[in-house]
Amino acid sequence: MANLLEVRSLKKYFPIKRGLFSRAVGQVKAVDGVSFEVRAGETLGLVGESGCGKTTLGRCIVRAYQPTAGEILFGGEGSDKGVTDLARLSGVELRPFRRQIQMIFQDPFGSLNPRMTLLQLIGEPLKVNGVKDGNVIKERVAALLSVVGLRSETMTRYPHAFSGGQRQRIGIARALALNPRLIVCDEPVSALDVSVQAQILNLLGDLQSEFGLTYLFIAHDLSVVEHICDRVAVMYVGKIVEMTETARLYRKPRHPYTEALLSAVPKPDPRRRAAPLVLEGEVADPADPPAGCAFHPRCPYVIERCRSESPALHPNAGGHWVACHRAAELDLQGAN
Amino acid sequence: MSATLLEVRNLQTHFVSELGRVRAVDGASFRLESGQTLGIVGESGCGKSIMSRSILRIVPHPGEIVGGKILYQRDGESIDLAALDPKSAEIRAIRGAEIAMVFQEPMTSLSPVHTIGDQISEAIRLHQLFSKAAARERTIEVLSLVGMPRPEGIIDRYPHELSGGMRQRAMIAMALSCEPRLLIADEPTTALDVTTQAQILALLRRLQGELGMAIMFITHDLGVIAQMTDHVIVMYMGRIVESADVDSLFYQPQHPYTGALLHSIPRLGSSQPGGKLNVIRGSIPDPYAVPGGCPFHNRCRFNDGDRCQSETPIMREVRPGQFASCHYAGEVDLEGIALAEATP
Repeated sequence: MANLLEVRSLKKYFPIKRGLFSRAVGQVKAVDGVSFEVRAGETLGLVGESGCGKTTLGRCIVRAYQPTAGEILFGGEGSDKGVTDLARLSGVELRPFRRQIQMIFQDPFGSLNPRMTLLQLIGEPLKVNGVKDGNVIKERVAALLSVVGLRSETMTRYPHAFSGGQRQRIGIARALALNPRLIVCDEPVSALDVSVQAQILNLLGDLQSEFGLTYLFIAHDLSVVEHICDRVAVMYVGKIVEMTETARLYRKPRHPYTEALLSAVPKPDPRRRAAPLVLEGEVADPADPPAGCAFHPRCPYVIERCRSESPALHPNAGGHWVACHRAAELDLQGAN
Repeated sequence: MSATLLEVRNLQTHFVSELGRVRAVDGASFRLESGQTLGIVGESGCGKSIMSRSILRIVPHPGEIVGGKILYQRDGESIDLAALDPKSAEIRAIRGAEIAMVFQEPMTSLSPVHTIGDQISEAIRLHQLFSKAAARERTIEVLSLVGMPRPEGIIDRYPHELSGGMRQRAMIAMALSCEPRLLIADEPTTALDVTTQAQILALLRRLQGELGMAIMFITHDLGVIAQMTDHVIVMYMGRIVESADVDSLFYQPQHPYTGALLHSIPRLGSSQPGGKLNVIRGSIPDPYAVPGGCPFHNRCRFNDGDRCQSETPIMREVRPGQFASCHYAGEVDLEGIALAEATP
């Protein structure tokens, strides 16, 4: 399978500014040397707790942020030699790529302009990209609305008239307007009720097979990620700590953090009340990460080496990438 | 057999505005034993939070209890909380002392301009005769009870200086400072990360074991319900649609809404990538225009097109100790979670 996207050693640091002249006194290493690839047609999950850098990474890929360092190689249309490094482009050079990489946001209440009708909201990306004929836009918006399961008559209405699930459908229609190749979904269902969450997850699955979409699916809910993703990358304090096929990751995790994450999810089964593996302490501060492995202060398997030497992400048999000094010797528990 | 701590009878809490009347809680009845963990599960707008706020008499304006009884048992006497003035000394003596509450968002429910210690000792001194120094000592004691590292230092911190998990611990410490008989926990872990959630759930479980209080656990998360509760109430559109012990609810659900909810969530360790989730069609109805008959009829796959649309079902005992409000409860074939796992 061809790679649609290859991210290499990507870094995004935010300066910490203090004082009268806003001098930079430090850096938050939100994304700190991340490499992975997304294959055409697959769904890659990006999981981690708040502050791990997953959203920043997604925003770098859609180029809402200018990365500090690294490459974002995109194999979409409009590139000379097949691939383009989006990290080095700016302004007008990015335009042909913005069309191909779209984003779906978490909060369907905050991400739609309340003063625009659905026709304006969904038609706007078309207009910006040169579709001038009002009737063409109308037709396209009607088609997009029916694709996401809304009635086309609703295009004259405003977002406030819709429920959370319906608004998320509007956001999806807007993202689909320009026939993108890659959609970065940032927590697309976490603000929705469970019954509606299932509808949106099924819709995303249907759209993927219908339009051959590729998803980068950012989420913190491990059950949702297991359901929708082909492969999963786990992030902790700005770095990927483990990455492999979904079934393998959930059955046989190799990184202690992944094991703890899987164990911490409350299982919806009253007959399986195992006490979870409770991690001590809290997620490390990305402005001041601990030396060595960032997870070592919370890791139940910590050894001396972990405190001083930062483990690199290494491939194991079968494309199972792990960043842990003890990955080979540990026998970790999966979900089940 | 443990004693009844709280009995709610046909509670009705309504919100009236120029847009109409919202029946946020529309005839809920249930019983809570002392020491028990009761789960209340439902989606947003089902009335689960308003019901818990009705018990403490802190329903926000313009909400009002318009009917029913909330009988709180203390020393063999029965107090109807629904009949008390929300500002009376009687309810204020109960609120925070005998029945305490933990909210979802610790950042908005703690005061940002007072230290953690001041807020907790205020709660202590409000209900108990403590000197300032003794209250401070007791505050340090409850902070260490909830597993706060270095409580002597944390006591003088402001909420913004603490992480989300620490703030939630501080709020639990405040709720427990007067050793309540009932703790109402309204989505206490929803705003937290999974590993922090696991810490807080383990903490609540340990505290319940040590202090023996009853807990009312309000959440939309079926995982939390399965792990934490003894008995479960499922709410939909202000009504209780099913009430059962936790095992029966997950393995032999009797209301179509419960059955549909159980199958609409992806289950960790058992889902296949690309598989389809069972969907409850449509969305939660507009609270100003609740469908007639059974409130769930327009989303229910067992809708008969007749009785379900015209006649409101009443709660009845379908199996011993398990109640459901559905005309066809016991007749329709609902799958519990065990069967779902067996299907490939």
